Amino acid sequence: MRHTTKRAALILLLLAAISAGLWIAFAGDSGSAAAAYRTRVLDEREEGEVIVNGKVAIRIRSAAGGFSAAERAQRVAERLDEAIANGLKPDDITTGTVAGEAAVLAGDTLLVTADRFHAQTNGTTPARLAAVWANNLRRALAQEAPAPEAVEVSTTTGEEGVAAAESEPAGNDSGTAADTLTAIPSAQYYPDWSAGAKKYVPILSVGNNGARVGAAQVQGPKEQVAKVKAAAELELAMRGGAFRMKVYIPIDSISITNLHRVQGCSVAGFVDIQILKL
Amino acid sequence: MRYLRAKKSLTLIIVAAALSASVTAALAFDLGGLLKVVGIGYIVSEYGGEMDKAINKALDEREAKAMGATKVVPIISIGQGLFIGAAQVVGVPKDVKTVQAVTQIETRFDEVRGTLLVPVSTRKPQSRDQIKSVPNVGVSAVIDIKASKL
Repeated sequence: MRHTTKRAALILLLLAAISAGLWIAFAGDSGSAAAAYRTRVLDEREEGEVIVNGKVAIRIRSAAGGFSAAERAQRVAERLDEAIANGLKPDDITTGTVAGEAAVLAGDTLLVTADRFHAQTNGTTPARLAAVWANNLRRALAQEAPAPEAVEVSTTTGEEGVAAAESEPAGNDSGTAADTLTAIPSAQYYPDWSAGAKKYVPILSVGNNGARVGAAQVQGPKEQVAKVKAAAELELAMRGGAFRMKVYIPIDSISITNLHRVQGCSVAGFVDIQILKL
Repeated sequence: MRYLRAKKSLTLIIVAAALSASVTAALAFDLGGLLKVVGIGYIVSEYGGEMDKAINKALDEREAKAMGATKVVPIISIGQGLFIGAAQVVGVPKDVKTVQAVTQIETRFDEVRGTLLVPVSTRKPQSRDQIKSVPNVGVSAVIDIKASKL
């Protein structure tokens, strides 16, 4: 009888150990979701891609805050990895506003802001782009990690590693996650540059507190030209002043604190008004 | 008789001097024009890529980069037919490739003076009427070149 009780206790212990082992193994599998980033160069332009479970979820197309596009993607991947390690679930990915900009959040943690530049590039609003990115992340997190393929990517630790990743041409981040993960011809990457409409706007000097320095005629597609409020003039010098460059940026506000470029528009000419006639 | 011969000689000297002066002036003009054409054309071919990258980098840092292809080409003054500077053009890649220069056209309406910049696919636009803008391309930057500082 005593032996029977002892045997039963041993069996129970064994079962508990097996169960714990299985649970640990299962927990390890559920935590296999991983974020990585990679750099791609398209038409001599560097981009950074955030990859979750082998799928491109976010594409960073420009530098900002002193970070290149790839470095920004790396930071997003690092934040994601940290959140995943802390038990991030797909439903924890939300959208919100951080410092006045639409953002994707992992719980209370900022993952990435959807700025106007990226929104314009994708032909949408920052809030909608944030929603698309959040949706892409939720879907990528929810699916199982695929078996690794021999595609080299940079991991979040900055090491060269091997992970599963799809090779895609540049595409539009708008639409559903499924759309994002579908190959889209790179020609669609560029905005419409046709000169369907023209209008005159003031030129604001970037280097001189936004002082007005004349007027410019801007051109572009009708709906884009309608957004242009001014042309920011940025002065640059190269080779000891041998080359003095005036760069004109069609912007959507009478402010030069943030240069929100209206894509597809350019300068067609300038106007000078002679105030004093001798 | 001697007086008339002296007067004739003097006239010949004056005419010769005048002719010589006009030839020198014409030569000087041509040399100046030639210097501008060859000089700026050479500078753009030599440093255009560097200028293009510098502009794009500055715009990228300010998150104001244009989503399109860019390149630097000479600016041609239609009135003089000379290269007078350089410009960065931006637009659809296949169209940007065809741009050879930007023509500068001056217009004036009373007190208002206008300057139009038109991307063209030739470096020798014959007249204002023949200028045909390359579609889907615009001007992003105007570059003043001080060759003496190079």
